[in-house]
Amino acid sequence: MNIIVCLKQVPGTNDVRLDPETGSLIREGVPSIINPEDRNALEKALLLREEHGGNVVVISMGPPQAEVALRDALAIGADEAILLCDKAFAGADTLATSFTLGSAIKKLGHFDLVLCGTKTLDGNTGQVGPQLAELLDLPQITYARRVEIQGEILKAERVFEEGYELMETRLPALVTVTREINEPRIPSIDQIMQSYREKEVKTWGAAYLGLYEHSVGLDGSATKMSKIYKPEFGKGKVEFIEGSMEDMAQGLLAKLKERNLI
Amino acid sequence: MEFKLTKEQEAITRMIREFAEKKLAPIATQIDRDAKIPPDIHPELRKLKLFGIPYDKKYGGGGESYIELVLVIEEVAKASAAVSVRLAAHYLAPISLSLYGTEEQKEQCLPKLCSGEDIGSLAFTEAATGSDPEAITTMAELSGDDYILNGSKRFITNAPLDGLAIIFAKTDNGVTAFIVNKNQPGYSTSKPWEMMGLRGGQVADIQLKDVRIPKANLLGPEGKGYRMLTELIAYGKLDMSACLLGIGGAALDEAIKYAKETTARGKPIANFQTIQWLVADIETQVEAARWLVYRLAYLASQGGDIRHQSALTKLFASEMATEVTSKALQVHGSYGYTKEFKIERLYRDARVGEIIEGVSEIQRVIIAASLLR
Ligand SMILES: Cc1cc2nc3c(=O)[nH]c(=O)nc-3n(C[C@H](O)[C@H](O)[C@@H](O)COP(=O)(O)OP(=O)(O)OC[C@H]3O[C@@H](n4cnc5c(N)ncnc54)[C@H](O)[C@@H]3O)c2cc1C
Ligand SMILES: Cc1cc2nc3c(=O)[nH]c(=O)nc-3n(C[C@H](O)[C@H](O)[C@H](O)COP(=O)(O)OP(=O)(O)OC[C@H]3O[C@@H](n4cnc5c(N)ncnc54)[C@H](O)[C@@H]3O)c2cc1C
Repeated sequence: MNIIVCLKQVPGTNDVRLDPETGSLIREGVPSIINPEDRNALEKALLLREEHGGNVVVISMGPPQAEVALRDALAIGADEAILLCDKAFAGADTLATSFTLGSAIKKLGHFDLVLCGTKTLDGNTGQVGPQLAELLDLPQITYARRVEIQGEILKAERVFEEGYELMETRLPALVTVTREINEPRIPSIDQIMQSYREKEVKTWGAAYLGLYEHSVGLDGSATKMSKIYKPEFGKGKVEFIEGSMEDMAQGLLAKLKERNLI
Repeated sequence: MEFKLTKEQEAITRMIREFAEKKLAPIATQIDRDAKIPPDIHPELRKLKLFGIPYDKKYGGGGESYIELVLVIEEVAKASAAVSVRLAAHYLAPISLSLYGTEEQKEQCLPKLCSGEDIGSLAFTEAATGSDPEAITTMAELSGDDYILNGSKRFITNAPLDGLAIIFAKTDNGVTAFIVNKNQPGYSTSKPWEMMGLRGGQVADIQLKDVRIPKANLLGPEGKGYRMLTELIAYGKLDMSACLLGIGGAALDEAIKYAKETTARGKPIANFQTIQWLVADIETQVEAARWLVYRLAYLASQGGDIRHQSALTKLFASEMATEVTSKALQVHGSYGYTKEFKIERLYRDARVGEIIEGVSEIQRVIIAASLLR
């Protein structure tokens, strides 16, 4: 079983600080980590490899320092790591990101399963997995909290707020996982050392992937970020409406009507 | 001179921090309350290969430097000082064997110590010794090919846990170190002491009653135990300093968190200059200790005599830890004095630093002696 795991390096904090002048993320002093759900995706890949044999490739698009996330993934147990890194990839929106990841996955050739996190801590769009599935023409299951494979069939529990769905698909497929799915392992000291000293992270750029600069990065993006800012927290009273989904919706509706807002 | 960690050292910090935050931090209060580390923690520490980091690969060690070791201790201590001290006290056994063991002793003992199957102890202190090592009374008498050990040891960390203890006893020609299996007939331990801090560390007295040790288990040159002790304890001070650095770092984190989250008249107390100064002082002291500790780890990795430098590092790190935990507690006000807040435990955990591996007064004696000789 050949499994590809997409992982993104993100700032390891919820307290994102923005430069008030430029609106860009202040990365200094903020340690970077593997996006938490991507750790779950990697863990699932390793568990499937333990059960069915095979190979786990981790792939990330990011700046040169994202190599650290891939080294950590190698320490944790991935077999191969590929960093998609090129000045031309900078400023990518989710579409350009998916396109670049998809091109690299096509280049890798044969695979049975692509695993992604559901959402990232920073961008938090949840779009990359589904877009990637479309680009690769794969069946997709999102928000999976349980995944198992029997022969050519993948079964998954797909969670949503009020319950879950049981899904089934043929392989190859793409699945995005939630944090509930497992508890990611932590590598031992010697695994960390081996990964950093002995293993290889391959770097692929636009030219290697045969991609034109206008189809990747900022130029390949369908959306442009015009402004990014942190919401100011105003003063005021906060009221929590509690109860079942139904009760909360009714409660909210009543409040909004009460104030003539709808 | 380069003041930064390598990428792999940063990865160790990142991963051990994740482990400590996930597995140790949630039970640290319970460990402190019950004075017991739950038994499922030990296998986790073994899986991460934390018991043999700097020792020779040939004998199952990690073959890494002391920098990697102190980074691990520091991160573990941030979450649970009790767990970090189990490690720190353990390391005294593999370092004893690494420095003084014969080839056979290393082959026999180090693999199990490095894997954590055996938990190490080093037992010197007795009721009367403490700062006066000459008052040692535990005796080792030669009887045929064996030594027979009789006596008792006080305040020995990890003493009740299975594994090996390096035990110092009087022989005809001075003080000598012995490798003792903690399951051996005649070896028994008291109930662990109820301590103020580091609770869960399993510090107990050892009774030795006709404990028969084959000559082959004599460690290092016979009669040269004092000299060995001063060299070994220097490594103990390094490990302890790393624990204290972790405690100090945790105190800083707690002070910052509390200062930002707590409001007075609608504004975070972090807006008060008094709080700002406390936090600034805490970080300054922690950072000063950090670079002393990392430097000592570097020196230890180079080999050579670290007795002088370890004395001043432990002296500084321990006073740092008591001072910054006190200041961080002050940031919390009355809440810091309650068991609701982590700083209360950190304050108690820190205090032992100025006592173990030699009291601060003795560290000053050692430092002055090497300067004014
Ligand atoms: C604060 C912020 C806001 C943004 N807002 C937008 C926006 O509104 N619209 C927009 O188009 N772009 C936006 N972007 C850019 C966008 O985040 C990135 O372009 C894109 O790389 C990933 O999108 P995401 O982080 O939302 O990923 P998600 O779609 O949330 O990620 C899902 C999964 O896809 C995989 N994945 C995502 N990115 C990568 C990667 N680089 N390498 C490997 N695997 C990956 C991971 O498995 C991840 O768990 C934003 C970025 C930031 C930092
Ligand atoms: C939690 C804990 C764990 C421990 N673990 C171990 C262990 O694993 N192995 C082990 O062997 N020991 C261990 N010990 C013992 C510890 O190392 C000794 O307690 C320590 O060396 C201090 O000795 P003491 O308690 O006898 O103090 P004392 O020497 O009695 O000191 C009491 C006071 O007298 C002062 N004083 C004494 N002599 C002098 C002097 N010559 N000059 C100036 N002032 C002096 C001291 O500064 C101190 O203030 C542990 C202790 C604790 C609390």
